[in-house]
Amino acid sequence: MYYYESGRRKSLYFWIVVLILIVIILNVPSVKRSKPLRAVRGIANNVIFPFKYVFNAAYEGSTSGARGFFRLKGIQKENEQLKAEIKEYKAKIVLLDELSRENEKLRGALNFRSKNVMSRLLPAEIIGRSGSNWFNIIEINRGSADKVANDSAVINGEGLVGRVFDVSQYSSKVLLVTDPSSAVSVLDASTSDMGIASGNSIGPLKIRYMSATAVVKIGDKIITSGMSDIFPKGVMVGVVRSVNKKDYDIFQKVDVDPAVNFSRIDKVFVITK
Amino acid sequence: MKIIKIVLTIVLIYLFQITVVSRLSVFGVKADILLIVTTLFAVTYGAEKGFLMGLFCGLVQDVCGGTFYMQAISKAILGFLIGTFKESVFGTEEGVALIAVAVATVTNFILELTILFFFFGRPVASPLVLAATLVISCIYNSLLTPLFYPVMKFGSRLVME
Repeated sequence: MYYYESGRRKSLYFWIVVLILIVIILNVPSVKRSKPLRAVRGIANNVIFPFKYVFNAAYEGSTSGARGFFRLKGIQKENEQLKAEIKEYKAKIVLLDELSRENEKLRGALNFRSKNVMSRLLPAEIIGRSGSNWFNIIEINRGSADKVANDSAVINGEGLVGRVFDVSQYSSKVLLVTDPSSAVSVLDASTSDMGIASGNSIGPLKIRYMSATAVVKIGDKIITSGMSDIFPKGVMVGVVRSVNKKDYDIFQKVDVDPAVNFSRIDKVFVITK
Repeated sequence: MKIIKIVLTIVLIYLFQITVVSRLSVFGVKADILLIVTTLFAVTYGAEKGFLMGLFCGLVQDVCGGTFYMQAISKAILGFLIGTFKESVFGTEEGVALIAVAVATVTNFILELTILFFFFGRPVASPLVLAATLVISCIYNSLLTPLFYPVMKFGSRLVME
């Protein structure tokens, strides 16, 4: 009996070692990006996609129903307020359209490449979020079938959400700006001082490489700099929460509260390439 | 047939994790219900089945997750360790699962941190955030554990078939 148990345990150790080796090989970048492995992931994601949609819709339906019941009381007042806001925004849109046309004409006259982001916005719904605390990732219901490509920027009405990093046929994964591996070139909207914003999983974003001579104040708006091909210039990233400057440092540490409330987002826009 | 049922159950739990549980975060920290299931399985059936359950759970997360292939290895080792030490460390009394899940959360955290940061060099959150995440997820996962006893009963029926 003892030998039987010991033999089984040894075979288990053997399989653990084999598994470790397989996982190491699978994570080698060239293997990870290889066609067969991407195909397996693509098939798995396509098969699971409708179920994600159903689960998400069921959750959304149940929570919005419950929320709606409790909010019914103030809905009349809110409705009137929203109608007034819509009128105001419609007027602004007319003005902006005119400005946009004028801008395009002038760019055309100067032979500039069109940077009109508005015409490239693709609405998308969030159908899943990373279950792991190590990654800040969401999944959206748009994929290569909708012309979504890797490194497309993702925004919502509040500001910058992240960028697409893994595209399947009908869905894509978006790396949020709050992920520690995310890096976005940003600038202070009031002083134009530049830095790199990266996430810290939970809590504020950290701005690195912000020069110690830069005058950054609490409450300053931080926007994308447009220095990369991924994020267009001027998208709201957040508001400065704290500034930590030491005399002997060449860079200052800046914490930024993200503009987007990531625990509540359900709809986003992909800026297609 | 049994294996298909088990895999389908894991996929369902995974779907529940990414669509519902991941929204119910506490201070931004999410519970890991696949970790809870792996731990309960290892406590009930020992190292070998714990290893296999962890492997399946992790594989589903890795293949559908789109990031690193690391959960398969961390959860398989976790299932093996919890199954191996279930009697010598945790004992067999009722309520052992809660302690086992807390220990499993810490073990899984160390395994994943080792793989991600020390092995692949991926940036992770600051030490303070990591510590807070560990404490909160330990408590959160343990508190959720009793909700998964019915899942275990269903799993037991599948295994006994």
